[in-house]
Amino acid sequence: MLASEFKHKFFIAALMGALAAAPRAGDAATVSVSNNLDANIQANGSLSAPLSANLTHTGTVFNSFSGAVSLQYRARTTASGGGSLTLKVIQDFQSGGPSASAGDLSYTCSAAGLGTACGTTTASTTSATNVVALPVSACTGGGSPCSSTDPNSVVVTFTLADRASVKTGSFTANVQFTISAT
Amino acid sequence: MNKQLTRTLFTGAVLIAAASQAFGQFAATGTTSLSVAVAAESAISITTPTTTLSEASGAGLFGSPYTGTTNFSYKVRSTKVGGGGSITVKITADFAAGGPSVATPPTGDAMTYGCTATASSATACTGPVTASTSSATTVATFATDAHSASGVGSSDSGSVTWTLPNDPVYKTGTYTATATFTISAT
Repeated sequence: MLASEFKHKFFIAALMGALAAAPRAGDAATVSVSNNLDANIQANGSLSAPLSANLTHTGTVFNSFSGAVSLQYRARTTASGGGSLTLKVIQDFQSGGPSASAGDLSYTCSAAGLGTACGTTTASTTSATNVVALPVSACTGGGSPCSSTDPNSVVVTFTLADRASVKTGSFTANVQFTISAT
Repeated sequence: MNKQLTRTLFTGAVLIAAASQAFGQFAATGTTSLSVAVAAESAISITTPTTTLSEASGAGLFGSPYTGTTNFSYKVRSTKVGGGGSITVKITADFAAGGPSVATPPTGDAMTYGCTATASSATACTGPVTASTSSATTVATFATDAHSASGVGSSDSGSVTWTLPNDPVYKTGTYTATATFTISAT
């Protein structure tokens, strides 16, 4: 057999074998593969606070100043956990002005969209104080067993004592809100 | 039409940008600045709403004027630079006819007063000052950057001691005048 004739026959044989091995139309080529999807849903919390708020008062007879801050937050707590939304005065009013460290600044909360809101509380420069207490198995949005709204909200109304000993001028304090969930 | 659409979209974009700046993003913490503008203020409270003017005990025979003291408390905060203030008094209702008169007293019978101010925040008047029905007269003055005592509930105090000559021309009876105190601060 000539080499060229051998090559030709080998090519035809290889082509027929390939056609025989190929799936025919109508055949199902199904492959099943199993894979475990493990979602590790953990406790979490986030919040959004306005960048600034003005404390104002009416009249000129040493009425306290007040101003409201609307917070939005989302939270998920575990069945054995809980959480909190707190605030802390991280920068007091400037010298000569009101003093959070002296107890001039207090606040109270509206009803919370999720959790238990604070009562009247004196703000602190040294420790975080409670705004909302989050219960176990709490979650934001979607309806029962979670809250119906997303995000949740709470309004913190600040009250600042107007003492005659304070100098005139503009003063600013920074309040940091922190949310935690376990 | 295209311009109008562009303008509308631009306005919407600006509003969205403004809204996102007004509220912080969701995060584990958020910081809000609390701002307060403290202005000059003043307030006064009369602690003896009714002041009885009476003769000194045992004086008799027109030897003693009618005197009485009106006490008051006040709070003041004046501006740091260029401020000040005052407490004034004006007789807004004179004694009835037949009795003493602030507006038109018999010669030598003008009602006068002297002042005290117990706190360093004020300078009391130097009496005697003649009371008036037509203009407010000074009880105390405040300097720039004047402050009443510290503390939310605390205040300063002062008093006005009235002197009304005992003139036999007055008919007997009880007479009442109204003194209105005004405090101001800038």
